[in-house]
Amino acid sequence: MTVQPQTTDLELVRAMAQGDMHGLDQLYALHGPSILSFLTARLGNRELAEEVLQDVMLAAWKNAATFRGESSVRTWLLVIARNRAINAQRRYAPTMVSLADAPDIHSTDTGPYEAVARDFERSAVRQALEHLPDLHREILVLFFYHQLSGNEIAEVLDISVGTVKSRLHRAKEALKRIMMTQQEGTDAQS
Amino acid sequence: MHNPEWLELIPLYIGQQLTIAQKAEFENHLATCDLCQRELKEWRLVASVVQQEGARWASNLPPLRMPRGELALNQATLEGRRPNGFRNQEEPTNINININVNPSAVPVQRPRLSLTLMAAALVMVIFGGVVIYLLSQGDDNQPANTIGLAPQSITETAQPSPTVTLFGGGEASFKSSTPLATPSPPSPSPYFTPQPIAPASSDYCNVYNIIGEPIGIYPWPDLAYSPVDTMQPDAVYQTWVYSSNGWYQIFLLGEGILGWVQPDYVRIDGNCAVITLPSPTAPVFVPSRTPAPSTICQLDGDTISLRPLPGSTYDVMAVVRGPLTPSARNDSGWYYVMVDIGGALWDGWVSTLDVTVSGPCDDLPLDNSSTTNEPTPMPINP
Repeated sequence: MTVQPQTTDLELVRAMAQGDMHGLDQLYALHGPSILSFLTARLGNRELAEEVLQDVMLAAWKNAATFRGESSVRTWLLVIARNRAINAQRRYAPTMVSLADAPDIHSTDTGPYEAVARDFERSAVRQALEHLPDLHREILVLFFYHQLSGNEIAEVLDISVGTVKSRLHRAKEALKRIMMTQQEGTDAQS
Repeated sequence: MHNPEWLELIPLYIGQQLTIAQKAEFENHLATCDLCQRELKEWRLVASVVQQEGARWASNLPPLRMPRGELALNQATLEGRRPNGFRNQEEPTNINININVNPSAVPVQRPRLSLTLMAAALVMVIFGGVVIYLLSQGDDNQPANTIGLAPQSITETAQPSPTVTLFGGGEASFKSSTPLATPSPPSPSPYFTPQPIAPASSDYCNVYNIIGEPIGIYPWPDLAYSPVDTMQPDAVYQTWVYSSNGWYQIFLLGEGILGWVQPDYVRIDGNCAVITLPSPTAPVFVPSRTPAPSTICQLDGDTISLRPLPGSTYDVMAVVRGPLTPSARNDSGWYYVMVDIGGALWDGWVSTLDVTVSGPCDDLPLDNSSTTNEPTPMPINP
């Protein structure tokens, strides 16, 4: 018999509500990376993201009994993660982005000029992404990495679906502006 | 001119969130639109980098560091607990996370003591509810169904009672005490502005809680505020206005305005064509509260309806929060104010029923000239 992933998630949370620590371990293994990615995007600081991730899982454990399965477990965890991230940002002064601390995944692209140019372009976007305001970076990550729907993002971020769309576009425009500023800086130096 | 709506579809197209029909239509347009093709290329690059970075940030998951013995004990204390509030299904208040606490310091008897206290409280609630219900049955003028639902801070006529979940707001109890044929007229309340024409109950747009959990009722359509009360799963309220961000302002016949609820958690039904947006363009305005000298007239309140002319028959242009400083009044209990909403100066009239009046307001100049029936809800300086 094949168990649906959603059912498995729900069962894990129910197991947690009954005090089963293995449920927590499994939930962490399944969703920990995704939540860590979101927290890193939101906080702009890998070290802090890892710390908040522990808080998120502890909160999930303590609130497991109150989860009623009306949203997906992943959305529920992301909501907790966002609330915890906001609390963490209030506790700590805004830190400069240190996303580069995250382990690197080297591009496998090799080859002719086009690939080099593409890498250059990607590198510029990546740098701009690091300097993007948190609100913009988090929505891009939720949309393109987590691949949440507009409704799910609205639920996680506590905003309307219309705001999701407009914020998505503002994020891209901001990204473009940062890239242009970086380009102007490079041109001025050379 | 290029329709910007096409550009809005591009990320949805990349994210595969368009319907088949939308996708086909967009691809047809894309074939002839250079701008869209350029935008699509840029979006694809952004999506690709975000996906790669997202994967990078997700890698090297640290081990889960949990005080497992304490957690097991903690879960035992939580067992059987039910949510008493709702905010995205997480506990509404911050949990005191203290991973260094000594488990031996947690009294083992606490669960039993908590249960005992809860049981005692429940008995008191039921007993108090029965008494109040019986009393209210003997008084026809008393809106029994709604007592205790309205927060004390909002509805002065409300009598806070522990009978909220027993008698409050359920559809059946609401209809039983407010018959459709003879709706009780709204009672005067500092925060209640009656409908322009009092319709039968069935003419109202009703608001139902659809999530099966208590949902927060906010004093203002903004999550930055703390809920003033909760809307129970079986509650039915009425609405006649929604905010620019989609929230519904809810009220209860005979009780007045209770606050605002998020649109995602409720369903509306009934004569909902009549509900209006208080301010079509301006965002909900929350002026900063500054202590005012007592030598000037001030109007205070959390939900003050601003109308273009003095009269409840005129549409609400905006719902604002006090204090406001009026510059004129009329003999019918209306004050003329000017309000800065999102950088634009709006003028209009507010009812004395909506506000708490303080200072020498009787000294304001009288203006009884505004009696036209043609509302002109335009900002002075848009």
